[in-house]
Amino acid sequence: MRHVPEAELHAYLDQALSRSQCIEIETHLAACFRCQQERDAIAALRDRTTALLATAAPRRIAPLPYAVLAARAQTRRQRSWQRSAVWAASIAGAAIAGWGLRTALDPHGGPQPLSVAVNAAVAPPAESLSVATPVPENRQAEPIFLAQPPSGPRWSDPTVRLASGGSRPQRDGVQSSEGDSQDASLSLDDQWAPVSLAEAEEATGGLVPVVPDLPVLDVRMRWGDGQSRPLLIVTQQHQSGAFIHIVEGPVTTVAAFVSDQLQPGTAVNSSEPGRSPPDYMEAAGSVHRTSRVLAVVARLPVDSLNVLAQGVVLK
Amino acid sequence: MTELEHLYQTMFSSVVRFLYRKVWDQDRAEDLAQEVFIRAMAHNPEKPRAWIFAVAANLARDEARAAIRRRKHLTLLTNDHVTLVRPDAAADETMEHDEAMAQVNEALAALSQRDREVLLLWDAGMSYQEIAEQTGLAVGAVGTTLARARRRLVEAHDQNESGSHAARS
Repeated sequence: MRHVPEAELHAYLDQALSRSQCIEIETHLAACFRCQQERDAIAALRDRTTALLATAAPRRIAPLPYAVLAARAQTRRQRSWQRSAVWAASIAGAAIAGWGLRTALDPHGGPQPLSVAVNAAVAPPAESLSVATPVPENRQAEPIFLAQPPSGPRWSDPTVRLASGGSRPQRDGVQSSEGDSQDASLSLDDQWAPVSLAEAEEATGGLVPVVPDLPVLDVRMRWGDGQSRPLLIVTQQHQSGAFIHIVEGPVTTVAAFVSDQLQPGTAVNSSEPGRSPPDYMEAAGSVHRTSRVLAVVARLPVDSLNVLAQGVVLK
Repeated sequence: MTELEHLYQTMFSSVVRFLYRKVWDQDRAEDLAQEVFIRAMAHNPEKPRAWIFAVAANLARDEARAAIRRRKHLTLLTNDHVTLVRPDAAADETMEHDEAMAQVNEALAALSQRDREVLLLWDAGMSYQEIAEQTGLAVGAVGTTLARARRRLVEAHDQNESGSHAARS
């Protein structure tokens, strides 16, 4: 007669066997006194183990409400996205910096550089925002080489392709010009509403990003989730004739937007992202902080865009 | 109620117990258990029960490594507890409980890592199949491992207890 192995009796008492295995063991147990004794001993050992482990248990376990835990998970996901967006923007900035540097150093690899001293025009004013990578002091004294502005009419910058064409109405604070009819935005969809400077200032509480002393040609605004400030794109014209676009908004949105604009073949560059005042939003009785950044996008070398970004002020 | 929420309601205490027997600190065990479920919400695993215990075991292992690095092992009972003067009955009861727990702790420490893991997973409510998937054992070997672990736990505990009595007398 084959007796039931010890491990099988453990599995039997732990209810880890199939129905047919259980029937087989029970049939044997009914006829085998030795296996009955073994089963009883294992049952006692099993109870003893359970009792010992129960001794080594925490006294009181008070789980948090599931909703609280879910909120924590949500917060962590948001932070993770923000970190990813900043990383993406930084990597894109670094790549663009390399491209811009190559363009500046290799006169045969791209447009002939035009020496334009822009220090006075773009020197950061006292209230300017700090950006991630400041330009070294010794760069301030040197002329900055900007890419040759496109030939042809002054307003036909190929980096900008206005969807609205010449139908855009005149807006307060936004300069009109003969070239306005050829102005173009960064392939924006209908969610980007053209607004006046005054409207943008009112909507943002006086936080419209501009480079001082450069004419504002266009202001576009897109509302976010209701509580946060709207996203803004302020288009200005540089002394070289090139259009520059200052994009300001929540870090993830700006990173995604800039990434979309930096497609191969467009020659559009972006400055490194700089901080702008965050949004503070109330939710579930607490205040949440959402980081915002700004970036200057244009068909200019990255060094020049970084200098321009340093000169941005909020008005 | 989602599946994960249901598991949280039914399994959280088991996960805390499982972790407690590894880190021997209730607050830390509860923190780690919360971390396990937060990660589960982010990953949405296909087999959440097995996934939860696998992550809990990994977290406990990381915790132990960190504790070793910091030279701050989380031990519940120290010599100070034994010599501590506790005037009231509740304190006496606490001391007895702590002492009993320390003996179980020592008995668990006497098991091999695999035996201890299988025993704790079984006590946390996992099936043989789930234990096998997590530990890499064959399902048929889980019973053998459990049989050995139970036997050794009781033997080690009885040995510690008799040693403790001998020391007192």
